[in-house]
Amino acid sequence: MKNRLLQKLAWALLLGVLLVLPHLLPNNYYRGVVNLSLIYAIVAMGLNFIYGYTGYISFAQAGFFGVGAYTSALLVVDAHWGFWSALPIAGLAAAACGVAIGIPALKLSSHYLAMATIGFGIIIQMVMQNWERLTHGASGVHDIPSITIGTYNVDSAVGQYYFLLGFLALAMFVTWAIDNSKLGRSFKAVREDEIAASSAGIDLTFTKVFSFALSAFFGGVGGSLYAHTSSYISPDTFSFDQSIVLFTMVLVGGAGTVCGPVIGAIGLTLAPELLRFLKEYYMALVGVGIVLIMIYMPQGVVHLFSQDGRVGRWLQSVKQRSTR
Amino acid sequence: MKNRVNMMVVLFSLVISFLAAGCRSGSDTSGPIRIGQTVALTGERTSIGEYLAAGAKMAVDEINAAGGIKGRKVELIQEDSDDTNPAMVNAYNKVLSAKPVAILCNDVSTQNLAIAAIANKEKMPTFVGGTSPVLLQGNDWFFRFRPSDVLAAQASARFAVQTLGKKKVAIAHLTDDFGMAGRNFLTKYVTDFGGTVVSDESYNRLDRDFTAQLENIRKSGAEVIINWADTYTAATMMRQNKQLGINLPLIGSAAHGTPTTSKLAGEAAYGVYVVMDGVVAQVKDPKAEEWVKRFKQRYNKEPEFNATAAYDAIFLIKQAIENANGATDNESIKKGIFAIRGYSGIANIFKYENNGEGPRQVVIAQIQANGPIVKEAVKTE
Amino acid sequence: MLQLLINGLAMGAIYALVALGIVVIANAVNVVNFAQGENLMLGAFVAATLTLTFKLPILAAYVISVIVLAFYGYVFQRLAYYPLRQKPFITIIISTIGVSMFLKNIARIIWGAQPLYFSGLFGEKSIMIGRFAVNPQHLLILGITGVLFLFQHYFFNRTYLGRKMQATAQDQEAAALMGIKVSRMIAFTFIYSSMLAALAGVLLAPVFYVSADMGGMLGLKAFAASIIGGFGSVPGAILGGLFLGIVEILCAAYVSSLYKDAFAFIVLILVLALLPRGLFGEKISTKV
Repeated sequence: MKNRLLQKLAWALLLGVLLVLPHLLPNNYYRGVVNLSLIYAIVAMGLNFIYGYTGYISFAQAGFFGVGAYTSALLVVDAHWGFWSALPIAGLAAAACGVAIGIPALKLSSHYLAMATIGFGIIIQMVMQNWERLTHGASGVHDIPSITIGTYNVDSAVGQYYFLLGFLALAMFVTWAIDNSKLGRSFKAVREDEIAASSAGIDLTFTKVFSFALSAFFGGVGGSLYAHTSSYISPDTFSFDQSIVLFTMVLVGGAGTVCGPVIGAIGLTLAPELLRFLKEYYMALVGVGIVLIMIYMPQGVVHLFSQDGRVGRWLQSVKQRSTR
Repeated sequence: MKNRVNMMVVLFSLVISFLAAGCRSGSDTSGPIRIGQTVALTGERTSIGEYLAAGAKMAVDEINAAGGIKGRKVELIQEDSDDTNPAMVNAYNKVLSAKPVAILCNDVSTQNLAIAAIANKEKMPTFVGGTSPVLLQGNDWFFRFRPSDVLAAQASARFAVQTLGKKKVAIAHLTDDFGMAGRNFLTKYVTDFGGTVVSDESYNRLDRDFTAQLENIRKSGAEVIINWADTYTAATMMRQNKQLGINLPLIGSAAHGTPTTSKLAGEAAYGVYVVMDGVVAQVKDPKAEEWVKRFKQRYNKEPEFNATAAYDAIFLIKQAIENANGATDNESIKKGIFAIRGYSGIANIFKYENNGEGPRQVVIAQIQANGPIVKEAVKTE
Repeated sequence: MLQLLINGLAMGAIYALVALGIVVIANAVNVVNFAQGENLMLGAFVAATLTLTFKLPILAAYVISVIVLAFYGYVFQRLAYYPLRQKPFITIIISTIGVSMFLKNIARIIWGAQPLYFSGLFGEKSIMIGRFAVNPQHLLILGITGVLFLFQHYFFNRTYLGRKMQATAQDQEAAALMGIKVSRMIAFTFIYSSMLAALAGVLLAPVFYVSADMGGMLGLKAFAASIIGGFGSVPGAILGGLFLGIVEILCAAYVSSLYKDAFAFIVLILVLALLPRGLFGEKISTKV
């Protein structure tokens, strides 16, 4: 009884904090970092589909992120579309790139796939940088208008927070729905054993390609949100290094779970800011941190707290001792 | 379910520690004057960032030793902008939260643009180290402390075509924002001054072999190369120009003349022309020479133009506040900056008048064994 | 055209040298060491310090650097690989990425952010053959890569230690059953790979300049080269590297220098799509 009451209280507290967070934060610096982590969370959730659920390594997520950002920004700035029409197209454009990678990837595995996705990501970035007539080239796209809902302009950090939180909630809901659906089970089946999955009647081609497309779609949507909340994008943001960070977010948070990528994204966006006092040492420490995390909690934070993770089991033992 | 609770505890603690990680009180009119600086202290551009940081710190310390600005001490708040747009935005916002009177930004134009919207919204006087011509378009709170690339391109083009008399010009450049914009202006000015661009070759920052580019340049019959590069690519171009036996006269962007590039290029740099903000080491200006001595004494290394520029920028802010009779609100500072009509910095002359185009001079120097020697100084009004 | 081929071949030899180090580890433990570029960078910095600060002759700096990196290779494997040896390879790969992040930043702190330069073994002047310039350092790189190819063939096929290492690479369990100390062989593999990295780093120093970022893209392209050549195969790594170097420079000269970096990856993707075994894939990596 007490347990469940405690749980309900905890949930209510969490919800409450989430709803008033921007007002609790002292200034736009904090709000800006939180908003950035929400965007990365959406993009990381996309990566979670292809890696966490389907089991394929993709280092192209920053490329999809970028395709979404550029598609949305260019449609609005150059073609004068509205944000709400541009957003789905941004997602679809990224998804199309996902399909473009997914199809040749069908016969590749592990090292080869990883390398191919790295290559794709780099090529996408070079196109963004060099196809000046379309993308404005290396100078980037500036003065991207903010999002409008009716007459309300989402251009303040507070407004953006609620907007992004809403999208994140939507993304989490979709992920949770897929997780419990036949599609989700197909993804996981492919991850566990392709041959068995295929014998069970799963269309491998469709599942794999769709998984890439779905990952890319989320990345593209995240990109569009990024473009319209930052008002400026340039190609150097969507680099292989960024793909590594996104991948690490999924891994550290917990691949294959709904909350994992979110936790990873928030953690890895907040961490460099928290560690600013370390000045030049902080990136070196992040590197060490990654090694330690791989050694001690390779399945991510979420797993750590679950039934058979270290913290989960420790808590179980504490609970048992206290009820003796 | 308990695991969810514990996760939330973890999240909470993250958020709490985040909040606790430094909250600065607002400024008042008698406390220290805060100036912010966002600069690369980590990441690939640290080699430039450390000069920007050093120049600014030296300036602040000297101002404080002389009594501060209107009796108030100056406090320099430096935040790392790493090498990405999001990191730059975070750094800028963090500095903003300390309520400075002005902020110095690093030399990367794309990163400067990333914070343009914030600068405009907060009306924060921002001194940008980027040289892209696009920077001042629509950004009323941006002020340059390094000359626009338009100036550099124009001077180089004219030097190549008219002074050196070489009409067939090859343009080699980086593929980043700096290189591409530079190429556009160089093409325009070369043609304007009566030359022709016979070759247009590019390379990216990490490229260390320009055989393909130089062979194409050789084939095009070019008589001179104008090279828009950074430290590494400048050194590579200077070396391979000699190594491959091409030996064309070379006019390079500012990076060609820095002490670091000279170390990388060695003898290959001799004879190369550089378009620089101002020549710190060899200009016959006792003030500049003395500054170089002070810098070397303090930091134990040769200064480069980024250090001088950042130093000048701090003093420009001081001048602006003094022009405004000590007022430090943003409108007064802006007016104070516009009142700067001929400030002589260490390596450049600054005149703001009614927009952010402050630095007015570039020089063309030739690198010799004992350092760059000025050949031509180009001023705009 | 000939000039392009000469320099393309030299660049290719560089890719081959780095690729060798990657393939050796990949064969032994089925792990791609994403920190190989940074190992190279360390080797270069060590040599730079020896020549610039301690004024040692360049050849001595080369040799000492390789030896230092041998020790480092042991430490690296003990700290970053050994604790993870049972884990899935993606975990290990991310761990090596963490190491590369650490090394890059620690190098910047130790040696400062400014790049360093020291000349090649034979000085800086090119040898002119007619109107074609040959950089002696490039010749050195090509020569050493060739020697290494022969050496590796001899070492891995003819010496006892080499064959033990090969056996470990092919099947760890079987090797253990044969009485081979597997963990020791793995340690040797990492040591050898680090020595290769050091060699690449010191040879490259005058061409790439010594900086914390010198290794990143190089490591990636070398990995791509080894896949193009046929992943898991030593001749494949070398030939893939040479092939990539030449293709890259030709495309940059005749197609577009703007996309030079992309060509390596375009070729990679084409090869993966059309020839999944790579150009010379003789040994199919069954550990995939």
